Amino acid sequence: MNRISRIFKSHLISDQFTKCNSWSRKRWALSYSTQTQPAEAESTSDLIGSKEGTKRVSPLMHEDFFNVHSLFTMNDLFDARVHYGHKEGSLNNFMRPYIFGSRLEHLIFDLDKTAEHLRLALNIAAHIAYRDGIILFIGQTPQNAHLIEATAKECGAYAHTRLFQKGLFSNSTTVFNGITRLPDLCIFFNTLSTVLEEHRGVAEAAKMNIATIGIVDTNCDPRLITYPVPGNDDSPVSQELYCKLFKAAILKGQERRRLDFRKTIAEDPKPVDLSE
Amino acid sequence: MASNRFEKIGTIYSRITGLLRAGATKWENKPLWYNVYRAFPPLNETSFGSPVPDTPIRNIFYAEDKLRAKFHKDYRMLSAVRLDDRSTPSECQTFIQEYKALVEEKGKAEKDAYSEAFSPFQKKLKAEMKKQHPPEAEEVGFDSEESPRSEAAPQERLSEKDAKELYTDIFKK
Repeated sequence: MNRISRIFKSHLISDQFTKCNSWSRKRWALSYSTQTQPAEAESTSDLIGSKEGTKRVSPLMHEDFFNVHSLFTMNDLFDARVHYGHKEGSLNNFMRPYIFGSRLEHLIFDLDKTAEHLRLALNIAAHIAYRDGIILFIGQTPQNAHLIEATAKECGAYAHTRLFQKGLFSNSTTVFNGITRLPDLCIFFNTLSTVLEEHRGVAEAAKMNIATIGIVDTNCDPRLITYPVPGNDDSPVSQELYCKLFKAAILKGQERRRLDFRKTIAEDPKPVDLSE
Repeated sequence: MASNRFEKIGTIYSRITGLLRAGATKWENKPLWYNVYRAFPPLNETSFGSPVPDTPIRNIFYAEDKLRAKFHKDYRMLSAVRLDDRSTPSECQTFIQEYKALVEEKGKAEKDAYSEAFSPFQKKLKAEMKKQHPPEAEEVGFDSEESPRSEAAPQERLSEKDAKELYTDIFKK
């Protein structure tokens, strides 16, 4: 532990880290194109977890530390029918920026944007897994319930695919009869509970300040989702793709964690000034 | 730990930042996602109160859409299509390929190219029509008096006088 915090301190002095430590909300991640395959991460000896004395880089400094960009291609999205939206009549206006156009009243997603959002979401999931966060898979479509639960089991995450009880997050102490650790990240494979109603978990997660990733179709509201991924949430093929991708990203994060730390990760350094 | 439950005000990040800045939450107690969020903020951060985007939705049309429409109008027989099978083109796709080849490579006029590309489908259409409506067999069975037609409710008929008036009206116009 001491060793790690010392290393973090030494990085505080370096230019790059102080820049991002000054609380400027500058974007220093994911600047690569969605089409091309960015360069592979440097050899592992240059990254965190290597022997003492070698150069270490915080995973957050790397734009794609877990190499999640290579998990899927644009063709995979197309084959999984991610681009199909609902009919124009059920459009939620907040989904407009993600839509490529309307083909005979059927909305089609812009897969360039979907890929960018999905890569960001996968990166977040991998980082949370790397920090040993609790990840909860949520979805309320009966036909996908088993798939989501099985995927969660395979990657050590949790799943909730049944009716979402009111107060499950916001009143957890009463619901579970004791102090409960809430998830650190919720991944919604579907953000609607019925055709018209939003899943209760979306608002509850926002209330309890839990970060969320959500697959949002053209009839969903992306506002309360922290990392929305615009895409088709109805087809079994697309659900399988999302499950496969999130599982792979989480496993990558966990694997890296196992390599780097036995038990705990370094404390994040506290920034110098707290003005935004 | 202090917190607030106003999910409709600001984002989770802005709310937590406020708590940290005010000292209501200790830095050690910040959520696990906090630094990850700082490093990788959402591409477009939205909150409940963010304005409705007015991005227009364009229609997706292709140059050959007119051709497709005409093909489907003339050829009213839709064969089953496997959406996950990309190797075999649909009937409409084969037609359009044929048509394009005729116009672009052989330099044929559009009308001629259409009829030439459509001819195999015309044959299919005729064959199908024959299958569905075979030439009528000789009628056997019913006597004229017992036939169901005679029992049907008598159709309302115009009297000869009315009919004449109607026709003259039509012809005058």
